[in-house]
Amino acid sequence: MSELRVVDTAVEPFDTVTLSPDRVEYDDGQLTAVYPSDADTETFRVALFEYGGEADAVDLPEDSAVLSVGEGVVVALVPETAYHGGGGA
Amino acid sequence: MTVALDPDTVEAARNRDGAPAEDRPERIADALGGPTVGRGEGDPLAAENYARYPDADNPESLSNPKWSPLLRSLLDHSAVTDFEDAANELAGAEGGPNLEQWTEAIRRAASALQIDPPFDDGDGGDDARDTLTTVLGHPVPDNAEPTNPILVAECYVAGLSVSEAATVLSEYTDRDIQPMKVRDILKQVDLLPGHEGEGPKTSEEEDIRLGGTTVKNRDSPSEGESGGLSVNVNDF
Repeated sequence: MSELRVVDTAVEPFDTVTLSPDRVEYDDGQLTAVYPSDADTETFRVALFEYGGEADAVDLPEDSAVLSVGEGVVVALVPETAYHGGGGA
Repeated sequence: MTVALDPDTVEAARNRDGAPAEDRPERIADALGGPTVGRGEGDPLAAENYARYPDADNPESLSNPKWSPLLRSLLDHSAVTDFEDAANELAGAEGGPNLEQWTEAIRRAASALQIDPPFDDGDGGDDARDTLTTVLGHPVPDNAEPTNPILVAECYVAGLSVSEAATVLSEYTDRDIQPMKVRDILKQVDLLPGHEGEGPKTSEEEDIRLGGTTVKNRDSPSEGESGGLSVNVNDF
């Protein structure tokens, strides 16, 4: 029998969460994630990516996880390391 | 150091009636013409054009790490002296997210991006002093009063307009010097018209003395060869 770790927290843009992104759900600012307690985890930051108008695509940094799409905004978990490279997506 | 105001200089100063001198040295335009903070005001500080700025209605869009270069450039800009300045540059017109929301978003983005803004020192006063020094072409004594007629006159004769002089002197001393005050002082020292028609001058008006400083009106033909106004800036 394997132990599962559950993350259930309210998040907003710029917040950081540390989890394994295999199974993540997101609804109106509430994030839940479930993963084996021995899984590798990573620190992510909640970020918004806008689309629409002239931009019908968004560039997400590598290893990002999409949380939601709608109303011109993609909400995603972005690896914290993407913020330290000086350029991002 | 003495600044001699010959009749041509005085006449030119009076004729421009508070406007900036058209032929002023380039260093003054450079010192004053610093970039303006504020979205849509002057040139953008952190991009080629404002279309490359984040959505004015969505401060949280700064959570996208692609804004890292723009934010670094903005926070490192000499015209940005605090997070509120940065917020003013990125925020849109009234009716959108307020400055507090933008300020908070910029703070959080800077933290996420590990940007260490250079404006912790609060050195805006030094910048203002540098501007005044550049305008005048020499350092200003520490205790110079912003309403000292010699200082005001020198700013004006250097080529500043009345409102520019008020701004520079206000920033230099962190006091609110209104353009009307500058105009009044310039009238007192006859660098602007409007003083002489108000009745006969008293002896105090002929020789204005403030804080030990003497500004001597030498318009009288009996006073020296050059006429005009002679100002001794050693008397600051």
